Amino acid sequence: MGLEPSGEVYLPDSVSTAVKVLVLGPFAVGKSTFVGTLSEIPPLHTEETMTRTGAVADDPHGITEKTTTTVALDFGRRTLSDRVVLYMFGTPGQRRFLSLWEDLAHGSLGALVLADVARIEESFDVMSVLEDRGLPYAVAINDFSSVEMPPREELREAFDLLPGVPLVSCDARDRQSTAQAMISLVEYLLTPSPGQSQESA
Amino acid sequence: MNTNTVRRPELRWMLDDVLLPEVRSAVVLARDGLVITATGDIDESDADRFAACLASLRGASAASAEFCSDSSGGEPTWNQTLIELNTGYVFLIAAGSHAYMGVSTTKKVDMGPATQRFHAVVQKLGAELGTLPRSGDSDRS
Repeated sequence: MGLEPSGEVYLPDSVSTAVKVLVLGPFAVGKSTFVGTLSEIPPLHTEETMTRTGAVADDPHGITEKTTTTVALDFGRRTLSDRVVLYMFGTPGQRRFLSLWEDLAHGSLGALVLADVARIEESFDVMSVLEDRGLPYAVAINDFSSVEMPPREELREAFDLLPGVPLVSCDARDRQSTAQAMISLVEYLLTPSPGQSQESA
Repeated sequence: MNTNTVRRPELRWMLDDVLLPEVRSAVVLARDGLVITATGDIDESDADRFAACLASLRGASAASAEFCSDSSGGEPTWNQTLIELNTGYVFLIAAGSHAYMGVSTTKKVDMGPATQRFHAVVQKLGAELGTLPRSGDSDRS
């Protein structure tokens, strides 16, 4: 059990806890890929081809193979253990969609903020909205760019993370790696009094 | 610990009332996008996906209210969303203040009686659900 998906699309009868989390992050950071990799059911994607009109607003940072972008929602489900099922809601990263994801945030226990180490500051929008809402989050750096990873403490400082907020790196295309990132978030969320007196080991 | 209850299967009999001819399936979802109960020709995983999709749709619908203000000065409120496809319709209707009902039908559905029935069902569901937010479902609005 544990990290492996249950292999069934039907939930076992023992399932009793649904954990809803958001998968957020700036444009083109790999949210849809992350949800698609981790989901045990066919993920729901609402992708649209990017238009020339959007070229000014949405800069894919030289990621030339990116031709579509999520306009409403990514959704996936993953059974983490016999008793915990994870429902992942990924929403568009661009600021103009903020009103949508605030609605989807309803009832969620926390969020995984995907980040790109080459453009850390682009995660700040999302992080500040989460903090305003009092929604706990973990930061996962999607390690797909060729940029070298700075030392951990430098990164925590760059993200201005409170002590205890998990910071992990992952590969959004790798099932094991995405599961690990999500587990670090869920452990953080399900630990009593998250954010308080919890030191990062 | 803040946890959510996944389903309330005991409400399914209430939802079964929407299964008129040409109705494919129906899902009742909480405001957070998780399934409360489902019926018709849909399995559990697809019910989860349909509910997530409907939650997003409801978010977009409510957000579009901003562009539909009239001179009365009151805040526009969302009541329902209807999608027409070449293969049928999707209805999304409020069921109380904490839940929504989505129904998928074929193109041949008899719109008049169907919408009447759907609204009768959400009234009943709303009475059952409206005062009972799911445990751990903090109301932020």
